[in-house]
Amino acid sequence: MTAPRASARGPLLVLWEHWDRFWLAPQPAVGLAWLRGITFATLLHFALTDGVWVERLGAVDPWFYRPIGLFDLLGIGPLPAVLVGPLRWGLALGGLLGLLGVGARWVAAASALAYGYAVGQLYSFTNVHHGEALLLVALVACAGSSCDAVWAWRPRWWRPRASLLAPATPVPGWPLQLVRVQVALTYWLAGYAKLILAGPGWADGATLQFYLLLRGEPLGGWVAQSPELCRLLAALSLAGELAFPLVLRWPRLGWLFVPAALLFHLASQRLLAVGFAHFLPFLMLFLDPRLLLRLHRALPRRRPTVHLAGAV
Amino acid sequence: MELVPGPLVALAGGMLGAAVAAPISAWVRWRRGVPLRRVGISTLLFVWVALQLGVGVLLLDTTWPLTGYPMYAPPQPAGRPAPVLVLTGLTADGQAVPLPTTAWFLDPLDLQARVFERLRDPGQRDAVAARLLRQYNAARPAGALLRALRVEIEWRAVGPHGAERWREPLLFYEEDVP
Repeated sequence: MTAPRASARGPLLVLWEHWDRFWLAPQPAVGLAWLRGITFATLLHFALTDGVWVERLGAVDPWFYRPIGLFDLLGIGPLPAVLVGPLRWGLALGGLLGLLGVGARWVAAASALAYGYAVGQLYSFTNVHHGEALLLVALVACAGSSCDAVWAWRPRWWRPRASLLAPATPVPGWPLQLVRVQVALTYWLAGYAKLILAGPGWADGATLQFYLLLRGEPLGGWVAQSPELCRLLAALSLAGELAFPLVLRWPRLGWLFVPAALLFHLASQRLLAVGFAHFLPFLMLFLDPRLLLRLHRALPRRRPTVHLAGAV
Repeated sequence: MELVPGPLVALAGGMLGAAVAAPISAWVRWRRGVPLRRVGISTLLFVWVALQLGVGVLLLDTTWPLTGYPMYAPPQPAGRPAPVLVLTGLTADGQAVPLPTTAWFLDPLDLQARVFERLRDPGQRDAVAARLLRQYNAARPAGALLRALRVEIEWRAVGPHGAERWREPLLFYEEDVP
């Protein structure tokens, strides 16, 4: 298929070409295995931890139910009690199968639906929290890519048409980029919200001090007593959130921003009891897959078995 | 959303409009020889990013999984005390049982966000307290059921001598015993 002639390309098509280059630039297939591993391990963790709350929803008074917009639109009501067990353990099974790579694309698609339903139910009974959408995005990225073609277990009963790929095989990099962009947008939009609602004055620490007191964590209460510390932490958080998308343009900045983000979430956990357990693992996707490939190549290989039957 | 300045609302509207118009552009690209699979993937990605940006700029929350991210953003004046709902249950023999708000929902402030204002409303407070009590009792053995609920607001602040906490009674609700 020939590319359109340069003279025939309008500015819109040129923009699209830049867009495609950003998203579809090839990356080694090992990156997809990395994405799959992180996604399904996180799903498994969700099922085993927050899944308890999904199960409890079956017994919650429907009076508390205030559906999120999508549920309202689709007319979805509170979680039927009969579904709570299958939903939780279905997600756990999906996590396990996906980790192994057994039918991972189909499993990812089904898990995305089930996970979206489970989290939507949780949020319809409580507030909307902001750490869970990323896993849904990652599941969709797995469903739409050849995530099951590298380092996947193929049992005899599972015979997919696609064959396994070598870890170095170049594949379109959009699944990894999608998760990276979603991470960067999350940070940037969090910083944006602070600027819109409070202005740069958010960094003066007073608002952070209030929320530290509200959350009531012992360490947070201690930090709240120091306005200087509150100011420092607020300014660093705001600057980090607004600057994080630079990683997309200059990936080497990941060596600065990713550890900083990890530290930020661990501190949030201790100071505010804000868990981002299902967001945090995806920061690992900012590692260049070529680095993984080099690690893979550096691993000691199993020597081929030598049969000495003829020598005896 | 009403707190977002007009030009940014217009920008978000532009993004949402671009998301809606993307399929037209996709059709043009496909007609010009760009492979369908490539057009499909890149258009879907564009739609997702444009919707995410549009919704994020408008600070919408109920549109999950596409949302804004206003957590901890609403400004608070320096020194403002933080109000926290504190619930205590009373058994039939008068024993007080502290009730963590995580007995209802995952996050400690989820329950507060859902019922705080209603508990302050004299017209709704008893009905809400009754529901809370019923919900809590549903998971308790028959011999340890709660008969009454005491609701207080704990104010938390930093004073000249460090952290300070004080409580203000909000309501006392007792179930009718048949």
